[in-house]
Amino acid sequence: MAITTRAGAISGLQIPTYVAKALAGDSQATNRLITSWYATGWPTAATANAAGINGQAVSASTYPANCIQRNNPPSGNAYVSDLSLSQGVNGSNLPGVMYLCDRLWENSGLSVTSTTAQAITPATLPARDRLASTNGDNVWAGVEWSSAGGAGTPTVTLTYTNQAGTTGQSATFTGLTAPPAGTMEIFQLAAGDNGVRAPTSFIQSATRTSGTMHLVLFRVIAAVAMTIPGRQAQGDLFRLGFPKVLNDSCLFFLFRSNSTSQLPILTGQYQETWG
Amino acid sequence: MTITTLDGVLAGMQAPVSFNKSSVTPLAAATRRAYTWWYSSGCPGASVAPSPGINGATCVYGNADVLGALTRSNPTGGQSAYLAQLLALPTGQASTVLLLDRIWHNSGLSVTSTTAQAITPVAIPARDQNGTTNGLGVIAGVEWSSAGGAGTPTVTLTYTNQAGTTGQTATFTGVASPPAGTIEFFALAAGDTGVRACTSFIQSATRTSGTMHLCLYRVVAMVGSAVAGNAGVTDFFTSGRPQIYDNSCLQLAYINSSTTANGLFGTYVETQG
Repeated sequence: MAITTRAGAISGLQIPTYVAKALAGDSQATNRLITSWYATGWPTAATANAAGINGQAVSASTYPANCIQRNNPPSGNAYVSDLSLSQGVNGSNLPGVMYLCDRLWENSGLSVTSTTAQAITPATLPARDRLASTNGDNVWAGVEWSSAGGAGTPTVTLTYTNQAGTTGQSATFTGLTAPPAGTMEIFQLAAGDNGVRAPTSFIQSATRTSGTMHLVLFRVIAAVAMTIPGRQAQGDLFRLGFPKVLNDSCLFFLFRSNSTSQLPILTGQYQETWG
Repeated sequence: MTITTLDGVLAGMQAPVSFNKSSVTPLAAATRRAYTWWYSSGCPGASVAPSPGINGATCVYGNADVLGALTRSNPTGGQSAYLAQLLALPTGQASTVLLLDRIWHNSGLSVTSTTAQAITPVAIPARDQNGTTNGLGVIAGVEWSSAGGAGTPTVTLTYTNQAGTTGQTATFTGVASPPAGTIEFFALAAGDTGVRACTSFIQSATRTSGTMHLCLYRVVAMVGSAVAGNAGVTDFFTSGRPQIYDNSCLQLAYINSSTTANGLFGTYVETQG
C-alpha cells in the first residue's frame, strides 16, 4: 500500500517523537557536517561502535536507544509527516540546514596514523538506499569522529564500489586538523557517481595523529532550513516531499552550520504517518 | 496526464535526492553571470567537459557526457513529472541557486578566434518551457569547463529564436579570466524570449586560453539564500509547479553576491502523476 491522499496522511498520523540534542563538532567547511550520533540528550548518545574494520549493517535494532524513536508500521509504508526543529540555546551558529538521515553501515578500527591502504571487506548494506535496494543509490560516505582527532590535514581517499556496481572508484576529502568529536567529513565521489554501495579500501596521505574515527554510510531522507535562534524550522508533508521511511531505519541528524562560534542545542519533534 | 489535485501531488512523491558540491570561487558579481557546480566534486560526482564537437549534442539524462546531473527517473505510463521540493544551502555567500535543465551543449569553440565559427546544430529536444523544440524560455550561455584567460571581448551569437526567425543576434561582454564553472549568459535580441538553434559564434578579441562550451538551458526553478549558509526552499506550490520533462539533465548553478568560495548542500524531490 501507499498513502495517496491527504485524508490517508491524516488518518495514519502517529504520535510525535521528542528530540533534544546538544550537538558538538565542526561543520564550518564545505563537505563537513556535525553528527547528532554521539550528542547527549534524547535519544541518548550512542557509544562508539566496535564492529571492526569490515563494519556492520545498521538498523534500528542495532541501536534501539540511540536512533530517533520510531516503530515499523504493521503494514504499508511510513512517511515523515512533520519535522519541527529549533535552536533556542546557543543558536548563533545559524543559519544552517538539518539533515534527517538513515544510518546504514559503520565500522571501527581504522588507524588514524596509518598512511598505507587499510583494506575493507564490508558487510552488505541493508536494503535502504534511495530506491530501497542494497545498491547504494544516493548513499553518502563519511568519516565520523567519536573522539577528537589530532593534527594533520591529509588527503583521505576511499576506494569503493558505486551504485551501479562499478568497483575501484575513488572518493576523497581533505581532512580537518584536530576535528572535534561529532565531526563528519563527507567524501566527494568520483565523476558521475551518485552513491556508495561498498567501501573496499581507505588510505590517508599523512597521519591524523590521534583520536577515533569511523567510516559511516548513510542516506539523507529529509532536510529543513534553520534560520535564526528560537525560530522553529518546520517541514510538513508537502514541504519535505513526503519522504518514505523504510522499515528498520536508524534515524539521526546531521547539521551543516554556518559558524563554529557556539554549538547548537537542538530541540523539536519528529512525526510519521503510516498507510 | 497532469497533476491537478493536492492528493495527486502527495500520491506522486518520489524518493528525495540529496546532493553536496565542493566550492566554486566566483569573480565579482555581474549582470548575467552565474557559476555552476557542474564540474565540482561531491555527490553527484563532477561531470566531464562535453566533447561532441562544435555542432553540439542534446543532453539526455544518463548519457556519459552529463553524469553530473541530479539523479532522477522518467515517469512511466504517460505520467508527467514536476518539481515538488528544492532545498539549497549555498555555504559561502548569499546567492540565488538556479535549477537548470541542461538542454544542449557543444565543444570545440576556439577561444582565440576572432572570426565567425559556424554551427550546424543538432536540434534541441522537446524540453523548452512548453515541452516543445521551439526554444521558448531557453537561454544561451558560454560555460567554462577550465579557466579562461585574459580578454574582454564582445561575444556575439547568431541564432534562430523561439518563433523560428533566423539570423537573430545575442551578445555579452566577456569577463577576463573566468574560473572553471563560470556561465556568461547572452542577452537576446529585442523581443526574443528564447533560443531554438545556435548558428554562429564570434568574438571581437581573443580570450587567450581555457575551454568553453556553448550551452542552452531552461531555468526550472530558483531559490534565494539571503545570508551565507541560509538554505532556500521552494516546493510544488511556491515554485509554480514547473514540469520536469523526460530525460531532463538537471544542473545547479548560482548567481553570486561576492567573491567568496561557494559550496552547496541540498535536496531535490519530484512528484509524478
